[in-house]
Amino acid sequence: MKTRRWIAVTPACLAAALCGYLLGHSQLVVGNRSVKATSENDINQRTGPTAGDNRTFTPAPQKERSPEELVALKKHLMNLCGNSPCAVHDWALRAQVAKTLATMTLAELEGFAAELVPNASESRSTEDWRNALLMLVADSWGVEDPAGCIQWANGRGFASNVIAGWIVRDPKAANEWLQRTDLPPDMEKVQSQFKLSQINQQALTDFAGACRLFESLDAASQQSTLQSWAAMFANDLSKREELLALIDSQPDPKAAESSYRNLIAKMAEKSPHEAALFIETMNLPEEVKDRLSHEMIAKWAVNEPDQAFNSWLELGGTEVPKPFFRGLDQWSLNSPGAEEAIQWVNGIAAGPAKEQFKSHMIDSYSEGDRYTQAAELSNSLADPNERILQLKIVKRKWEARSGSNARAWFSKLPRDIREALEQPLE
Amino acid sequence: MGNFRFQWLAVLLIAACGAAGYAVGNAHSGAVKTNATPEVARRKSDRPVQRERRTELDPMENFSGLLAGANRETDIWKVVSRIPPERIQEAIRQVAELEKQGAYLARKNEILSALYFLWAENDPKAALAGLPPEPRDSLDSYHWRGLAMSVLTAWIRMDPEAAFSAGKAHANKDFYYMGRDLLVQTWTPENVFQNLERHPEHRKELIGWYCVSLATKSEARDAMLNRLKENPFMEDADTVNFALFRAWGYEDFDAAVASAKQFYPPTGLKRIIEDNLAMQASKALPCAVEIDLPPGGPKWEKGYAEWLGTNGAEARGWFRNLETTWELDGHADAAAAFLALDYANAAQLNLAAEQADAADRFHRLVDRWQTRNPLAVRKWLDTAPAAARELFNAKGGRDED
Repeated sequence: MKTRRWIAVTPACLAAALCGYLLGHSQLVVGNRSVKATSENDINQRTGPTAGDNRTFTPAPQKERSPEELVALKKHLMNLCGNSPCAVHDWALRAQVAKTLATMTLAELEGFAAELVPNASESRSTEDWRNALLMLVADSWGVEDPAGCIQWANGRGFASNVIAGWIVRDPKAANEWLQRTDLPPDMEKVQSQFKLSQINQQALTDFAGACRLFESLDAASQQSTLQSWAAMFANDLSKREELLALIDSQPDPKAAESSYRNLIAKMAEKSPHEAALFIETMNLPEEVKDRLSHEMIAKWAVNEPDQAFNSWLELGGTEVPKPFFRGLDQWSLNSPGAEEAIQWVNGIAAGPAKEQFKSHMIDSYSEGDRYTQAAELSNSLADPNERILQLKIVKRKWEARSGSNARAWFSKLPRDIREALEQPLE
Repeated sequence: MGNFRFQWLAVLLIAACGAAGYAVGNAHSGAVKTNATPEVARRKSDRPVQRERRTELDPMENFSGLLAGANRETDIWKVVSRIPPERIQEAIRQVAELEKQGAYLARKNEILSALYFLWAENDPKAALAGLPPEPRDSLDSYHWRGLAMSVLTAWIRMDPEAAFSAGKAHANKDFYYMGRDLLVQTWTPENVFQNLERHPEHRKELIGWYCVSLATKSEARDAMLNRLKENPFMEDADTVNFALFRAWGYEDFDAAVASAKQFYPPTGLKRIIEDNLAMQASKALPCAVEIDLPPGGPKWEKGYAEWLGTNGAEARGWFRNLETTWELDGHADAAAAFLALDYANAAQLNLAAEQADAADRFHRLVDRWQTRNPLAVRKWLDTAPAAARELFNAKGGRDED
């Protein structure tokens, strides 16, 4: 009798368990929906360092979604990123988005990446929110399935991020993938990019080991690795000797010079004086030292342009080295540098260098809509023919942009110049 | 008594079964499908480790590992956000110190961006004041702007008006521009006009930059276009039209032109096309011809040279059909300039047949033009593309005058 009573309870237990299961399941789904709805409402709401649970890094399980829910979720993420002040630098948002992306399946991530990837003719700034979201999707996908993500991202412009992340997270697995021989032929570029990332990463923590690995690279990879290392470790005294030995061992002197150029530029960023002294100690032909010295002055010019250029002018130079124009542009393309550069160039001694600096500034200024300054500089050139030619060129560009302003300025020129501008040059 | 005890036990048992069912249902709900793939199984087993590590590692030690590239953690924010507020500046100093020692920091700019964001979340005024001075080097300046934007982004999330005011009051005018651009990104079609009311003195500028931000936001852009359609004489209509179509044209030329053709004044369409002549020549040059803009000038030449560089065959094919028309319409200068650019591009790429063809057509065209108006040819040559003078002088054109 007692046994029969307990048997009678069994269906009730099963029913209770089933109801409980279904209730638990449905509450989570409902809960998710309410979380989503709250987040939608949170867009543009004020938040603070304690807002939300985005720094708990609690894993979120993947969700079963209908196609409509997936569309809504992606739209939600796009709204979040699109309405952030700047999704690239919005770290709280990025954590929030990453947490949601972690609930998506690989197929969903791949589909989302395909929607976000720019088409071939589109150029996006790195600050574009769609780009920021694409990178987050790639990160999330890359964590789950780096090999698949890299293969897909090949040629779409973001494989390097996924590669770099994989090498740091799981170097052994990354290396095993790299050693595979059954990769499609179009992955060659990615593989070589991968190798460079790998050796650069190793160089950070085990430079001696990276140098041993360096020996196994082909000539082209050695060259690009050295160029990277020259810039990365230029100011790291603990690695300099080994680095210089590697550069010296390069059979192609042009390749070696290119690495030296990177090295000197980075050294000059820190201290032009040290870079100059270092060049003098190098066992290189004088013409190479001259070129490296010009590179050093171009970098010095970024911070102290007049001192840097004057140091070269004092030596009586007549042909302005090309790298100087990079430094000159950095100085003079925006105010107040543009005005400072004009004052400086007007003050230096007359001669061919002065005219070359001016000609370059006229071209840069007129391309950068600084027509008045370009025209004034043109009108100050020493050679009368060159003066008229440059005035004609600036006038043409200025008129195409703003005819009335151009006419107003040119109408104030002396009559003989105005007449000369209307005639062909001799 | 026995019955009473049985009833209680039965109720308890049923309740326990229900609770167990609920727990299982809750736990399995999200995982039903995801367990289907091995990757998911791997991720799930990884997670508890991450959580344990969080409690075990000193946040500053973890941060040092991130800087040295020695951590296996690639999530910068996961490391940075655990730094206690009172030690954020110490972390920033640590980055500067390592750099001073010559160390290479692989993700320095991203790490600093996260640090300044965290600082601004805790004390935005101090974070803004704590930014280093803007470097003169353009690349360094770009990265510095990233830090400034991190600070302003964190601040705008918490208090948009205070952040905008702080940017406005800053001695460096760039902070005002950055604050303005970031602020309008957070505005929506629903609140944009309400937000504008708060800034009467910057109304025109802010609505203009809001419209610029719509270039990448199709729904919000459509909302603004509908508003314009319904009320073409709305306040700021000119600014809205100008900024929206200009930015949209840079972003998606075809779509912007198609929309502008429908309900934008012809001057506006002309402006979108002219804006893009040099940058999106393969699209803008044919459009310019289609709406009969007079050909020639620095922008046309720059655009055509660009197009030749990216797809020479396509550019040449397009221009070949126009050469005679332009000449007959009194634009021999434009046609000759394009032929000179053809020649220069072919010479640079060692395309002998194209080079010879361009030179031949150039000489024939310039000969005809010179017969009609030799003075115009000589004047044109002074500012024509360099290749035009080279071709002309090679044939002794000047000597013939």
